[in-house]
Amino acid sequence: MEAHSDGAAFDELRAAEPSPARVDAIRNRIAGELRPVRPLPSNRALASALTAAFVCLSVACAIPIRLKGYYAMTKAQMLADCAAILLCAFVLAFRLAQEIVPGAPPKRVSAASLVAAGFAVMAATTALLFPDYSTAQFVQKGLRCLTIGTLCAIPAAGLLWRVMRLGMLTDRASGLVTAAALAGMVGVFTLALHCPILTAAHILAWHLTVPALALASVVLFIRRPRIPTA
Amino acid sequence: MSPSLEQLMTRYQQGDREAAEALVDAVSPQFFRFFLGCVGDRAHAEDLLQDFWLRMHAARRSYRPPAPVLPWMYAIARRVRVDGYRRTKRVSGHEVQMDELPEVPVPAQRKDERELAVFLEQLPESQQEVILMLKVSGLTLEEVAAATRTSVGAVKQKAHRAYERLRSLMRKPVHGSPF
Repeated sequence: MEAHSDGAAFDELRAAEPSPARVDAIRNRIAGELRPVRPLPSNRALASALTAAFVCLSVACAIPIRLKGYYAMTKAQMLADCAAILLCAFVLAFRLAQEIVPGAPPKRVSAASLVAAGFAVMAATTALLFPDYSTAQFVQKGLRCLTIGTLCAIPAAGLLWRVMRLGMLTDRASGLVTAAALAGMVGVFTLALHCPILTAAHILAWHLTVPALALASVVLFIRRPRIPTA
Repeated sequence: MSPSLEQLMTRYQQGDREAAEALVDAVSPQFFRFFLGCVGDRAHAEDLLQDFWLRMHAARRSYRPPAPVLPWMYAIARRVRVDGYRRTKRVSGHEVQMDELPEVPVPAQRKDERELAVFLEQLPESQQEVILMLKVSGLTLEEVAAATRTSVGAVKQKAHRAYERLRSLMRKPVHGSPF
């Protein structure tokens, strides 16, 4: 094929049609599985609903194991810590709402940068609010907190999986990273309400490890070796 | 006056069977062409079209009326294409070579379609899809930008580079056609 004009080459493709049998099969399949659905609410409404679910789930996880952290903190610490956690949760929920809608406008900030910023905000807030770096029974008590936080993040991940299935992740890595960070933040909030150890070393090393662990599992999931499908 | 794609999509979300069927008839050809331009094989393109419809059906509540429906659909089609490409790569990576190939009837395919597929195959994936959306599906720059989650400027740049590359390829004779 020499000196072919690009217009002529595309004309052939523009005239191509799928086989009528295949279109019939698609039509019958779609019509057979048809039931009314409600469109997703706006990103802001969806993010608000997700944040409300985030608070409910964290409180529901913290109540049975007692709100010792809530009573140990001063009002100022409680307000500042909750504000930082809820701000991060809302930003992540908003991003997740954007991720599950195909054809959404491009994002200025990548999901990974957003999650990194969330970690930075949480670390700075913790360092400012709890300037005690003592490490008594550091590992023993820390492992207990890590276990509790991770156990709380699992139902949150299940809930977010259901939410993600309402739409479609066109950028799977960004969506999963955002969801993992948000699920991990449920663990962080539960521990903030439950854990009476108010030292920066403990919170930074063990509470914030919960979202880090969730992110690590997502990265392993994305990079898992694939089994041939046929 | 026939209803717009957006109106059909809204009625499809409400469970209207006629609207769903009309939508399948209205958009299937252009998505088939998009997939055909990507993979260069009719049977494979039809498989991708079917996969596209099933995925779109599952995610139909994520369309928010009255937003333009085509960028939303093309964003799904891109995902289907990427997953299809990975699946093919995964399967072909585990295929066992046989001494003798069995006789398989090859479906008839037009010569120009195959030649264009050879040219398109030599473009990077991002340029390939931009050129197909613009030249074959007739989408606007804004619609392509929304479907590909990039800016209009980035789409223009990709299209320009793709045209340049296609023109230089079309001036040369084709060697080593994969078909």
